[in-house]
Amino acid sequence: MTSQINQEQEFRLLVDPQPCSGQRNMAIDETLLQLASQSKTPTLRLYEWSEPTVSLGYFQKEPEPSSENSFKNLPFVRRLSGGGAILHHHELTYSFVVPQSHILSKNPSYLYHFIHQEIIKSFQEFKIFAAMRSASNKEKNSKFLCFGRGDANDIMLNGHKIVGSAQRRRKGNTLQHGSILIRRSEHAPEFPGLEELAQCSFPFKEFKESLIQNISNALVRKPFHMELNSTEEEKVDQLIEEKYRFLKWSH
Amino acid sequence: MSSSDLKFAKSHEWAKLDGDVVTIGISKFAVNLLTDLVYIELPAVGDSVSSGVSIGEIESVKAVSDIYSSVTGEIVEINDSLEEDLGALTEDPYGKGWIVKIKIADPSELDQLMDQKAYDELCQSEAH
Repeated sequence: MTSQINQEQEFRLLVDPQPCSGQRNMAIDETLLQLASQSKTPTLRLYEWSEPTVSLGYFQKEPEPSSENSFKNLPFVRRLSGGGAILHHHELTYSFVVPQSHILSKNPSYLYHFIHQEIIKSFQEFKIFAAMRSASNKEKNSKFLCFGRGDANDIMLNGHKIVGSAQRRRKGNTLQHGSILIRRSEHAPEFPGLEELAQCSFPFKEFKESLIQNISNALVRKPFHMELNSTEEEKVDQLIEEKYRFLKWSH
Repeated sequence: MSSSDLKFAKSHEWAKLDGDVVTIGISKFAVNLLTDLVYIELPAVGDSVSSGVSIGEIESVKAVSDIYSSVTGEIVEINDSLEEDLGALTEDPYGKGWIVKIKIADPSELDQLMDQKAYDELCQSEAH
């Protein structure tokens, strides 16, 4: 058995064994982006959050401490990507990192469509019939929470946004991460999840397997499971210590 | 300003030398790829910058991208009108949409950049 990824025929797959804190989740995604320039192959990561956490878009102002909202006592973390705030609670999150050398990095805007169509295909396998919002239904992006905003690539079900993604582009490498809203959170009850909208129990494990398979087919590459190595773990710890434990960054 | 006076970096910034000051902006090709610009963060006047290092960040369609300096020197002017209105970047990327001016020590750094013809070829290869 080979322990080295085949740079031409495989992509790296990381399925987190357990949910992590917001700081660690975001530090892992940045680490994967930093590693991308040394690689020729994309990386897909699937993960969850150990506690309800609000992530802020890169440039987004944090809410005033005095403001009344249902998540003011929750942990906050800043993302490397743009867009609005997200309450990560009952969700499955993905990140997908494409190195500069891969053809998908040539047009990063297309990457939203590329990943979202595979998510939609996987939903269909479980009789969940979602679709991308059309460009004509685009809404003004003035709302604080991402799931209250509108973008042509959002995945919609019964008129509600259930998947939204954002990107960071650095030196030709692209990190895209996105949230699949599984169930309504008591902290943001205005946003129903898949389980409420499709009236089903979300098949977490089977959905993950299906999504990996569909992305594998679309990339024409096989998944290669590879956890973080010790050097990567050190980088993650360093990013938490120097960056992600703070909400204010000097950009 | 005609784009034939310009030099281009692989990361899609343009540069124009005038005396010992280089003006930097983002190419039309890159602006078209970015679409729907919503926010820009610029460096401060007086900052020292190096070639290939990020000097600013721009957000579009929920994507944050870095803007790189193609030269080494000191920021002497920034186009802070862009912070209020990014329209100039879209409408006139080689003129009113300029981003920073950098005073440089070594003009030969610009020799490393592409001319319009070579840059057009790069864009063509990236578009396919």
